[in-house]
Amino acid sequence: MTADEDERRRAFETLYRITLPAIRSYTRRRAPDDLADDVVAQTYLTAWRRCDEAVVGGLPWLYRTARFTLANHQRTERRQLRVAQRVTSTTEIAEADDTAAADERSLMLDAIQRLNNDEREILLLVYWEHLSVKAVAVVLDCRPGTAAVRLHRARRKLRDALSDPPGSQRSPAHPTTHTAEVPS
Amino acid sequence: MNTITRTLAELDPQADASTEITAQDEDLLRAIMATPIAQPARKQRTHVRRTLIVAGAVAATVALGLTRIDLGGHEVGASPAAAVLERAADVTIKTADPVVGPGQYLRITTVDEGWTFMRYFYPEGKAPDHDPIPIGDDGRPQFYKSRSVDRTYIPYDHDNGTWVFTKDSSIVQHMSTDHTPYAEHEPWHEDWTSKGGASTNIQEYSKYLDADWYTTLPRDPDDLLKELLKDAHHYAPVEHYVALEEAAAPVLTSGVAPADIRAALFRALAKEPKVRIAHNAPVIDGRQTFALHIGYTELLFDRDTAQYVGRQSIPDPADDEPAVPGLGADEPVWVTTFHVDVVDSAPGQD
Repeated sequence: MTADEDERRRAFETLYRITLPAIRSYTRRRAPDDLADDVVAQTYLTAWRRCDEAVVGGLPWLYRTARFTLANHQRTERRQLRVAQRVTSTTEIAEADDTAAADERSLMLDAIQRLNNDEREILLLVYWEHLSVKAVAVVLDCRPGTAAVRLHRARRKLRDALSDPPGSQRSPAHPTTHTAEVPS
Repeated sequence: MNTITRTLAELDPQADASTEITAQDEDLLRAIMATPIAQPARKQRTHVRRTLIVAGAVAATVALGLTRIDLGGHEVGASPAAAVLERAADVTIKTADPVVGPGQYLRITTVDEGWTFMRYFYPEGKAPDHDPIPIGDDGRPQFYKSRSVDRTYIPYDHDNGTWVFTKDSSIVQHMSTDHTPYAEHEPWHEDWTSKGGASTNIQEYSKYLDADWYTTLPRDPDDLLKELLKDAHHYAPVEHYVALEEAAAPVLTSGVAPADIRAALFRALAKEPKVRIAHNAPVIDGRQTFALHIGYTELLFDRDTAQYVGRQSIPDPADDEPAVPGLGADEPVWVTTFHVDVVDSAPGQD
């Protein structure tokens, strides 16, 4: 084994051990555990094959790769898996808990489900994966400025959805924000 | 912590997930690392592919004709494009590029300014025929003009010195009075450094900024293009004309490629029948340009020095791209200007 190969292996091992929990959580938030684990394995296999890029790109690079891998699985297996459904699985917790906090969670679940996939994804990358806007831009393969604007729009739409739950007689606070709704 | 942050955190199904690396995880690591690798991983490819995708999505320019450029009596090749490119090769060799001395930096400045609007990424099969343009309360489309300035400072000792990158962006004009209050994120500024080596805005290595990489390339025009085309076909074979853009544009627009490489590349492109010179070459920063149309992009070069000065996107009605109200048919929807000079200091590096 050459010194370069040895260095490469050490770098990959470090990358794997540091980032695995985050990437595993990311995939399990979006897919059943068995599929999520397959995606994790494929993501790190890709990282191993493109080790130089992966080590330099770090966690955002891995999120992006996991996202593509997950999308491929969902396309090829025609599984209608969406983050909303994963979120919905926690609804029982909210409904069983008769408190103001439970009401907030229930409203939030509904509001999240009313967002389109891209808006939901960018919010969850920030609130669940705790990524910076710059890292989100890497994951979504866009400029940081674009990611910032999208995040801003998604937050505004979420706030609108929270302030105007279904059944409410009020008008949306920002009617124009709904003009570009993406069919899901 | 506000309500949204707190409530979303409470809803996170993985909030209490273990961060422990189990024996099973170690098994997976060993299995992955036992997988043979066919060839060494290549450095930095993504931004090139991204450039192509973005350019393809915009697909805004089409060469409309052949330029009337004073060739100074230089008659080479059968087409005006060939003649222009051969002349460009000649003047490239004769033009002195900026020389960086000890303690100095090569500063590459790229300014992007143009009109755009919010777009969404659609799930496969769900994209509408036309991107909907959000309309403001005043009935006007919510187009906005953004401007970004990227600066790269490459130190004299480019292998060991500190590279400095700055990026500023802002929205300079809104078409509708009803728009998102961008104050939260605009103007945008970021800067970062990289110790030695060439880097990009997402901190990946870019060979196109690596002076050492250029020394490894053949100087013969045909051999050079052949070598660069290998990169263009790295992921999957693409149409030759499109591959030309991916092979040549990053080199010609890097600001770092030495003159002999650029000249050889101009000569190689002069032999390509589909490479054209667009007629609507603008004056940029007082410099008269010629426009090289290649693949999906239009690159602008100084007519006198053949140095890269920018690029532009002119809407083509055939593209079905939403028209920017008030913009003339020949007016670019997006203009990039590019400038390279030498400075004595870089931000944060005293």
